[in-house]
Amino acid sequence: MRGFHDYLVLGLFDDLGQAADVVAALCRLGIPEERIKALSPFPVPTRAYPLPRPRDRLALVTAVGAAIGFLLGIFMMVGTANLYPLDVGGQPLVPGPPSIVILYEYTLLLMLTAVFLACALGIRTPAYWGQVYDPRLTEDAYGVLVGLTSRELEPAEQALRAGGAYGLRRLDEMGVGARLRRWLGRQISYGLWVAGIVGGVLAIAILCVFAYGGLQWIYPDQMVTQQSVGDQEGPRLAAPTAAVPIQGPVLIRGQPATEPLPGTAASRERGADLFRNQCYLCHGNEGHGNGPLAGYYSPPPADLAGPVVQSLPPSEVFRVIRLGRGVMPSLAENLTAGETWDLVTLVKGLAQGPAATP
Amino acid sequence: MGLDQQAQLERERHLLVDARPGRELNAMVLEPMMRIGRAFWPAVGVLGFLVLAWWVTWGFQMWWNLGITGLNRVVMWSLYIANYVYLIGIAEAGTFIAAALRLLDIDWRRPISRIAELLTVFCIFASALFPLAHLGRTWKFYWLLPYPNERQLWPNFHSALIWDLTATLSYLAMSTLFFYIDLIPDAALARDHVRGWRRTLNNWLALGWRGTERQWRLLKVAQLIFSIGILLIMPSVHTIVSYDFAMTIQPGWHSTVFGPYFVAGAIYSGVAAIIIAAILFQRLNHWGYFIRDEHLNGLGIFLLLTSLVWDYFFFQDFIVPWYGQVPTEKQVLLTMMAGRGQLAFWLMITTNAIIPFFTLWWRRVRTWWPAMLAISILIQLGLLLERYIIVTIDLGVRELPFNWGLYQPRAAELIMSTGAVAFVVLGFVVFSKLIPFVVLYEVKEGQFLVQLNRIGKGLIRSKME
Repeated sequence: MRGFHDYLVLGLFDDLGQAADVVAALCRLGIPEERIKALSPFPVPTRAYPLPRPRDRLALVTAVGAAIGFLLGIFMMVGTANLYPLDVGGQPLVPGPPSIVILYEYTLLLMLTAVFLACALGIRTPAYWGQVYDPRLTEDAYGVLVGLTSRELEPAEQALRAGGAYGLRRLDEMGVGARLRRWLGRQISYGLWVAGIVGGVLAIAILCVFAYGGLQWIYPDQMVTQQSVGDQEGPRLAAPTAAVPIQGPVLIRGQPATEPLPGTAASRERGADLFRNQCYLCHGNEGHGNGPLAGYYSPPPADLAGPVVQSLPPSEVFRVIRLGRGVMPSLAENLTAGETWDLVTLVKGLAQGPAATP
Repeated sequence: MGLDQQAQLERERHLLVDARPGRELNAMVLEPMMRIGRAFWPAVGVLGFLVLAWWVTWGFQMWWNLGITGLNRVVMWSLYIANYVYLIGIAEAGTFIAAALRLLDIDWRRPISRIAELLTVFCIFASALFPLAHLGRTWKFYWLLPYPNERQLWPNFHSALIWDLTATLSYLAMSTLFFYIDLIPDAALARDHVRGWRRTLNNWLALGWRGTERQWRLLKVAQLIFSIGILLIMPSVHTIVSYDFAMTIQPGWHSTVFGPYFVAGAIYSGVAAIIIAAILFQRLNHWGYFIRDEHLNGLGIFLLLTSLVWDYFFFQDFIVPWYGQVPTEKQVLLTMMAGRGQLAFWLMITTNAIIPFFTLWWRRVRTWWPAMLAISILIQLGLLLERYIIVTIDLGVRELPFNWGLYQPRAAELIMSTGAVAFVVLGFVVFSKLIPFVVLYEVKEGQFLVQLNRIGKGLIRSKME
């Protein structure tokens, strides 16, 4: 209740007309309008009471909230896109028409949130200091609440009773304690407002400080405890034995590959089967480089039975089959290491005779 | 007819001329809060079990991953998404109706708007959980939110899914606040007239409400702004939900009419859901005083209207691809109408278009609660089927036949869907013990404003403005 007063008096009425007349009577007694409040269990037409129409700033709040929401939407669409630019082919960094969708939602979201906060705070604030209330106000009764000085108390209560009020209640706010309580209540209520706003801003600021590395939260993790070696420094740690997958012999030019299979007849037999599938079309039945497709290639396929190939070490033949050379493709995907060695056995024996009949 | 008889008849028909003392109204509204019927605990048990089964299944799915669902590489959206669209559809209509009817000042809204608003709140909470379940790795959900993080990454606002998240969360927040603003004076009523921990709860909710002129003014203006805001945000939300589909080039989804078509379906299912809730409240709480034939009648007319609007948009969405005969579009239609979707499709046509059209024209049907209950439940089924068809049948038909697929829900999806419906019902059951379920100050206001006046030999209702 605004204004200076010593007592709060509440009267209940069964009829809206009675309550309105009493308000008019109280005004005639010289009680300022801002100390008179009309209470009702449902919204009544505001013109019923001879009081100034209560003001609210919700229209302004709506506009401000909408503006903040719009700016937040702009930040989301333009700001975040530029804070961490991710170029996607054919798309602009800031989407055009889709921005409308986000702007629309953020504008409405912040607008209505602001209206809600303003409405809730507006409803809540008057109750921080001393009040008189009667539960009948949520049944049928219309109430008139008036703040009075000690000089006004007597005539005002008479006016209320004469107007048909019942259930008169009075709150004595004369004492120093009551005044102090009211004053404190007001300070606390304003303090809560300020604390809420400052706290909210602080919370966001602290979150941002941590998020962007202004402060770092040192927490133990496994990287702290493990052995670390700088770039080009320190003892080079040996790789664990199982760390590098090797699916066959290491092929390094000049170093012979190990030869796991002895050139047995069985190996030559398997090699002949593979030769029909893998080699015959280019290198020909006897390995002379005259297969059915030989004419398509330049240079022509190598003569496997000739002195050049026959003078190569087996590991080099293996390497060529695995990796290919010139026009010849790599056969690594078609053959296992063992099958490759079978073919090597066969190729090294070609000088003695034809590979096989296809 | 004598004047007494006329007055009697008017009072029987119309809530707003059947004024009773405030104490009596309060008692009627607070009675469900104070009395626990025989069915309450069994209902809470069964519904709670279903809701628990939902969350346990969800936990199980997080452990075992999405493989326990019927999802496959072609049909990678499933019943979860259908549920999401369906539930958010109901949610849209709740506050939409409360807001639209308030702005239009339609008097039969007064006793049912809280039911509509609560329906919105529960449905949107349930629906918002389904995309999270659909994520698979639910715990990564916060990656979708725009917040300043250590890696300085932000969501991709080019994506329709981020628009959807923004819209859904906005609507969730806004409809909850809308519900809460309307609740404040009624919470004060409960605070004044119940005892125990519910008094404490409502004391918190009431925000020190006393009913001063300033408080009423703030409330009224906020309600007005919120009503307009909800009317602006609601179509946008369901349109954006439809963008999840329409922004792809999937045949059957890539349609410019999807936005309004989804909005129409949303309002349709929502009105039907409100009718179900209103009838259940009327029957179970013995609220014949608050929810009368006039309310069912008004809702029934609204249902018929939304049904016709839905028919129109459905026809639009159907006739254009059908006439175009683009092979892929045609295949989608064939699969729906004559292929594996045909049972669902024709059932949907029957429940959504045929049955309402041939029944709701008659006032006798609209005011007979068993018929309204049956029609509304069938419409719910039809609209769930509609979303199911759009999500899973359409998605199974791609441009290239090698890429066609089949989806069948498995136990996980079915348990979670049932759980979501149980969640909404459980919400109503539990909240009916916590807060007043009628916007009583609006009823009292209406009874104050509407009066019977004698003109000649008749009693005429009139409303003060």
